[in-house]
Amino acid sequence: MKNQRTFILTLVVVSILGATAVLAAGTGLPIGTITVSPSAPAALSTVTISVTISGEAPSEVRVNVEECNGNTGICYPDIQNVSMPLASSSIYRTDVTLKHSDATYITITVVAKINNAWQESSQKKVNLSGTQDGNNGGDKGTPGFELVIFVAAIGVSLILINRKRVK
Amino acid sequence: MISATKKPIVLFFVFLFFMLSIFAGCTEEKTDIRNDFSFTTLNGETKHLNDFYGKVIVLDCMAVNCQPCMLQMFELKKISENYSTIDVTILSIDVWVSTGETSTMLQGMIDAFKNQVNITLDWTFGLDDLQGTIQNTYASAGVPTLYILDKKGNIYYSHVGYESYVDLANKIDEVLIKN
Repeated sequence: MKNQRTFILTLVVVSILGATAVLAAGTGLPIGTITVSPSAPAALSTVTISVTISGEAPSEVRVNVEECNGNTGICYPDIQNVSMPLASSSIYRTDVTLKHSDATYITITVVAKINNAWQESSQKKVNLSGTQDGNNGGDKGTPGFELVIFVAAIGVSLILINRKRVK
Repeated sequence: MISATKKPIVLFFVFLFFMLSIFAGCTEEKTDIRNDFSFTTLNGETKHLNDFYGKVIVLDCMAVNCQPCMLQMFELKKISENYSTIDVTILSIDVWVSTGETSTMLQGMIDAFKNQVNITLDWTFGLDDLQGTIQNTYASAGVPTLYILDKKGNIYYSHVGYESYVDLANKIDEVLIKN
């Protein structure tokens, strides 16, 4: 029941985000489908993003990659905004290395400057397959410096008590 | 050997060591907002956080291009429906203006809620500045970041990430009782 509710809510959210993007960008977008390779990348991995843009050649194409954690419901603020050079006829491509080890999905938006006006694609959500090796500075619950001080304090106390007894 | 005069000093340092080790990992949860901030409403007005003091404030630092923030709107709507505006006010501030979000996008999101799911987001919406002042201070870890402030503007509770209505309501009830 809870899963069903979450699924419905997700559908609603996707439709709202889609409607928002269309409102912001206008209609008749020349930005085609965004493809991602690998299709289910791992966290911290490098992802190749491609997009086809038809019609008039844009003067600039950029991609925004946002990393989120679906379990905690957080999207991280360090969105990557990367230039997409022309790879072949009408196809723009770039590599982006993901930054967050605990991200569970990414959202990708392509923006293209056509006739001096920025046009935005709809948002593409890509689920991440898992985490590559590496620690992004997160707290994994390992003992910190306070534990070291605590152990040192016990050690010093024991030495002092022993000395007192010997005396 | 330790002389009798040095003993109290040594014991003092041992005590200090213990106290430091015990309290080193602790952080204070409830802090005051030391600096008021301003934001721009969708009408283009400049508002200050302290304009809303006197009520419990649910401060929602959000972004349009953030799916959890959209889910959060459903929970905030329940707060809007279940609490009097005399007691509780909700502020949703788009803190990703520095990454390109605009008032048009924020208004588009509100309109989409109305048109797609017939939900009116009937509380105050605003935008951070281009430098990301609010983001850097209150939402540097990500969005949504939620705060509950007491009637004097002190932070009573904060949470990074999506938060359910039940959990938010519990905290609001607590702060309403204390005020």
